[in-house]
Amino acid sequence: MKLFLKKLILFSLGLIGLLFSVQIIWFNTYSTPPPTVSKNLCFNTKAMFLKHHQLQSDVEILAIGSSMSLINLNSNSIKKHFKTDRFINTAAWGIGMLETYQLIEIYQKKYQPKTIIIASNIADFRKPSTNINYTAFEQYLTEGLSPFNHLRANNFAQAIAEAQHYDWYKDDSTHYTSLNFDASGGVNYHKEGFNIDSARWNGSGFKSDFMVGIQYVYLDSISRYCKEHSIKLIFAQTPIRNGLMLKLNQDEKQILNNHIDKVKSIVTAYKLAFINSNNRTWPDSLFVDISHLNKEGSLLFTDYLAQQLNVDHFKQLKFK
Amino acid sequence: MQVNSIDFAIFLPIVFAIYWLLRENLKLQNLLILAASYVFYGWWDWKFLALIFISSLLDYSIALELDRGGTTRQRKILLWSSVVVNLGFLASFKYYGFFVDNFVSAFSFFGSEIKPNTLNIILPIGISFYTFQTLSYTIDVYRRKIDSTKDIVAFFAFVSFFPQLVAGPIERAQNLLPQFYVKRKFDYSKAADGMRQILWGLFKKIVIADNCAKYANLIFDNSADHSGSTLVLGALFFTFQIYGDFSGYSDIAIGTARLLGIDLKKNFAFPYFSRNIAEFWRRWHISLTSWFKNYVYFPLGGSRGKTSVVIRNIFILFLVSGFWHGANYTYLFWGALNAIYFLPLLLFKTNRNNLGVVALGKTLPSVKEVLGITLTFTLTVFAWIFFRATSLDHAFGIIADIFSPSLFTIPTIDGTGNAQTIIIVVAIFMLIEWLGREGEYAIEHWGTKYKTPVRYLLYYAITIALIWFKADEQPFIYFQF
Repeated sequence: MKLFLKKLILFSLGLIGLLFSVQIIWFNTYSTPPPTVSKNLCFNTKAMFLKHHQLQSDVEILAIGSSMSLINLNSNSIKKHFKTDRFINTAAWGIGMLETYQLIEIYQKKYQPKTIIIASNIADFRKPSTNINYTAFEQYLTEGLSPFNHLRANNFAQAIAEAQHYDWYKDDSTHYTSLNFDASGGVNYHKEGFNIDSARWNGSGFKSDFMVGIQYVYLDSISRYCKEHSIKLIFAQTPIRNGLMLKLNQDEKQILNNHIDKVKSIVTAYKLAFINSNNRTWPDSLFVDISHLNKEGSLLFTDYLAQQLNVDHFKQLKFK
Repeated sequence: MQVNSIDFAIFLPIVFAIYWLLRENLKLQNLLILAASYVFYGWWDWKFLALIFISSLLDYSIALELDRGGTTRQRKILLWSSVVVNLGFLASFKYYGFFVDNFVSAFSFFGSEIKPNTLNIILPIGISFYTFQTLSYTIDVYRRKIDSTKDIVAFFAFVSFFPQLVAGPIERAQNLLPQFYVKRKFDYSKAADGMRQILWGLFKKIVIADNCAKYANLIFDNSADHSGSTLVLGALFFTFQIYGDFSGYSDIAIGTARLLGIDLKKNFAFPYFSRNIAEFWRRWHISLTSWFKNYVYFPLGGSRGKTSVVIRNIFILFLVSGFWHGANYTYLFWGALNAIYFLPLLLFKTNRNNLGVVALGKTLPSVKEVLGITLTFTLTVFAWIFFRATSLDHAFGIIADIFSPSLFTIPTIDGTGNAQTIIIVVAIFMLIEWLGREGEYAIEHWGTKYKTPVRYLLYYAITIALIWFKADEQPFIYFQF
């Protein structure tokens, strides 16, 4: 028994030493990686951003949702039109309606926003895939997490890949997976030097099985939640580049229009604001792929929202 | 409590330490095993403890009655009471929904709509395993193959022995129960061997099964979006997932039992190196196959009698085996398919060929062996499609897509770079399995073949692989059975 325990302890000590060395090498090689509160590096990075942001409560306007909110909403334009600095963009890639609904409850507790903006397109209604650990996320925002969190939630290969990716893209605005957040949490794609991927540029049409019903149910829950908590919700349908719009066949157009009608009926049923930017054309020069805008595009889109909304009038609206 | 979880990593050393501190006091050690087993099982849902307790108490009492004698009729009534109650539990929890659905479908086919009283029944984990274990005890006492036990603690510990409680190996009373009667002394080589087997089991589960599961799930769950070649890749991923998952669990169970000085039966013997389907079934889930052979196939007459009777028996054996896995037509079809694979071997009397280890004492197999292994493996992969698919329509849809021109395209899945790494890891894993195929498990010989520094390096390599390749923790597939 003694020999067995002795060998077991020796083996364990060796292993602990080995892991400890790897940790030291790692922290000396890469920046401190974001906490692993989901399988989505952008969301994890956003969690770290929110944790260290100067705004920790009483937010006037909060943007939430997917890359549509992250990239297509221009922070400066929002601050200018709404005449406030108390704006924060919590959006991250791949956040659909299901995740948005879960997150709104967390953000409501923390920030008590008066207005929430969701910029969205049809892709946000796909099968959910982000796998956010909401408990860990909330715990991280309020208390913090163990420094070994990223190791417990990931394997080494994933953790190092995430750390590398974070290092590469935290200051780069010329890549689709840029993590270069502005002061409010938005991302502005630089037009110059942006290496447009032809597959992403051409994209694909919309299939009838593209969306899942549950996402619409969650949009309804989001709308109801905002209504019940006297939050002014602005739901904006984001633009699609004109080149692609012209190529859509009848079936694809029908699918897109049906989606827009459905979303509009859900949001307006609660007397909340719905804006469809596809009522006008958006030239290809404003895009980096079928639906993500460059900085110039995001400025125009956000201005368009403000114009459609009539901000001064909107601010005086009372939802209760 | 999953055996690959942090909970178990804390639980096992505590049980191990107390167990050997009891200084070979047999009664206390058995009591500890029983208590630990109930804690282990109750970790999932303590309410299910009542079920295992009732099953154990029933079979303990019935076996004592059976040994007291009585007329043949009385003994038969006792036996059938055990069979009916045990299988009744299994049927209620596992097959209720299946039968209700079929009942409703049958009525609607004839134009009558009925509203069934559907219950939201949760399947108690491992019920199929411990039900078969306790049932075999009563049947063996009835057949006078073993004597009943008066030691209630030993019997309850036998039924609920935590290492193999939820996913086997399904132990027979003849093998496991007597080990609870004899004093167990700590044996260094046995414990070291147990640790080695646990390590290998963890590798199979965490590195092979969980990583293959990511891709198998991705492909099977979105099968309509994938080409024929990608679907073949998905079937291969599932083939290695299920082997790594289930044989990994068996290795962890056997290794854990060895730490406590108890020997469990081997459950897997390198099945993917089988040269025909009969050999595959002698090497895959050995404890279940032998259970069905002894308690279903042989009582039906086995391979004796007219050809039609033999064919019937084989189909019953495989269909029951399929249905044991779950209440779904996919499992029944999988069973039937294996019966079809098996029948020619039985009819041409070649099913008892290839009893030994393939290419024994050699590094490489012969051409004939390679052809046999390749054919058997292909047939097995094909059958796994039915096992993994959610319905027969889903399975046939996948097969139709496989046999299409897209079979000859390059497979594409999200995150292909990582998938390629996993394919390489699986290839290395199969190489290690091949080199260790003469042992009880692939790395058994490492304990004697290599000197300490090399051995430790290899163990560290496996441990680092566990950390490096840890994927999303997937529940063991066989827990649902």
